Amino acid sequence: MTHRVRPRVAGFVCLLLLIGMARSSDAYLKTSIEDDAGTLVIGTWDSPPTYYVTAQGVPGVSVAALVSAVQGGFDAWTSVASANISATYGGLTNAFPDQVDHQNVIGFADLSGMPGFEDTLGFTDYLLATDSTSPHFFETDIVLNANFPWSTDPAGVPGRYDLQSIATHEIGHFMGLGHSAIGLVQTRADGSLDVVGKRTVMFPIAFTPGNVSDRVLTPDDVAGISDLYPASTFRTETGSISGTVTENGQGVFGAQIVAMNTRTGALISNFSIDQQGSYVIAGLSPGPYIVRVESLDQLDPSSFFDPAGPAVDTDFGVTYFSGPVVVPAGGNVPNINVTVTAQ
Amino acid sequence: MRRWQRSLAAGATCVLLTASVAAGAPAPQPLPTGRAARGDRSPGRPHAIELSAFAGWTIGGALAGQSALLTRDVTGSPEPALPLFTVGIKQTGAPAVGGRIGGNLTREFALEGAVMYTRPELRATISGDSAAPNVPAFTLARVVQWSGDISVIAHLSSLAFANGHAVPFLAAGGGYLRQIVSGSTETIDGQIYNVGGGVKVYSGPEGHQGFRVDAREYLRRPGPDQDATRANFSVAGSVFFVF
Repeated sequence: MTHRVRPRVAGFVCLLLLIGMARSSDAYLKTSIEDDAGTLVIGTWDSPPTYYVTAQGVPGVSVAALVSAVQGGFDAWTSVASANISATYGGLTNAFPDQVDHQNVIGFADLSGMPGFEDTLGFTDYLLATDSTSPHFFETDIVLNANFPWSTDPAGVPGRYDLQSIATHEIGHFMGLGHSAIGLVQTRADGSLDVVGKRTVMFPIAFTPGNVSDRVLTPDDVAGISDLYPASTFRTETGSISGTVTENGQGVFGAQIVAMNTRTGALISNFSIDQQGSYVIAGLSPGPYIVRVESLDQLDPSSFFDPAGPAVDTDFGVTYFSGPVVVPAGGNVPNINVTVTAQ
Repeated sequence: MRRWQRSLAAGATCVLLTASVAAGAPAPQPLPTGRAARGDRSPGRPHAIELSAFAGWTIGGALAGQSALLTRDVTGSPEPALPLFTVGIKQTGAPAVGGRIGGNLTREFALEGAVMYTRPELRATISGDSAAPNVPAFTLARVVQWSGDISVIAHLSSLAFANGHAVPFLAAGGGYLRQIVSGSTETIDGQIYNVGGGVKVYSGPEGHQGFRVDAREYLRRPGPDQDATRANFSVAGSVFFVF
């Protein structure tokens, strides 16, 4: 069974508060919406958010363990040296973690009655305030599916999902990140997907129960959060690459581009995000890179892009950029253009 | 003037240099190999200064590769990471140019400083990608390498030949290495070491000029891939002048 962790498109729209879904702007998929003028607005916190945890555990997870796992997830993101973001634990609450109450609430809920979310381990709702000159998150809630078996054991428990790993993923959304696609999946006979391997916490499909690997951020996650909340030296100590992905002279929307540092092996990715096939990957340590382009043919494109947006092209094969890509500190390498061919 | 032109031309390659000696015109006079006499102006005398410019070729070789590793979805005992693809990196052969200045401490030993410039390419080969099995090799980066080193030269006068005009020598030294990956603003400082030898061939009746061939193994730390210590064999031909 596919157990996904994803942001949710919620159904409530207020006058000046808009619900966003992960779309992409600049580097990395980020939580964003188009405002009335058609401008893409990226969701970020303009001040350190305060979060509350519901005073409700589930079998195998006490309230104290829930709080500890959530705090561990926040710590993973806020301890990134190249990012400037923090969050404050506000205490326990009895509020339901999926309602507009001007509180950022994280907790368990029974999702068995929510169509389309029965197999979802957790999701994140956003309220984005666009009424100021600096759009920002107004409220963000994280809902964890109480119908799955959970564990907070640092070593993992077979048959139980690691709460801190899933919380870390959802907190990535809480901070404003969308999904990343660095991973391999295999399709089961029933059509569901299993992860074979992945290299990003923000992959839309969770590891199997008992796996605690997603407690630790990868270079892709670190680059994403740093790009969203850059520390003072982030832009000068790292560089970026940019270019286009085209097929038959037309831009490809939704192609996954992975850059591998040949010195460290670090993998950092993004997508082509417009009809011209443009992409940017930022947060790259200086040095030579291998650039690999792949389609989202194995994954559900709606886990990455707004289904109401342009169609994602999934009909092309893996293609490498065949030329030097040397990223300078504080600079961009343009014109890393890749032409793909239909399969 | 004609000797000068012949020496320059001969300096281009080892083969031509050797031919020049063999076909060299007048019977060369043996150069002094013994103890320096007072007022000695011979090239091998103590305190003689030798200047040379060289051009050569650095032989390439395989460098460490790198794999794009995914974390496997396993629980319990850890398993090796899952490679999405693997990159093999090879340093290509490249021309090297530079100059040397040396001073004889004795007839047998000299100290020599050298600067060298070379610009090899790093070639990448992709393998292990089941979705892209046949990716042609391509240039990953070009690396500019500057080095400055000091070597001890041991002249093997007892093995001199061609009437003492051809003197084999051994060399070993070390120094500073600076590398810049083209396109990057980052400079990588390191060390360079060399060991090898060659032959100096003095031309002309007084032997105040000539040519030499060097064959050395260079150890660069770090290598052009900025990893570990990399060794490359290099050969070079030089034209030199003795003062």
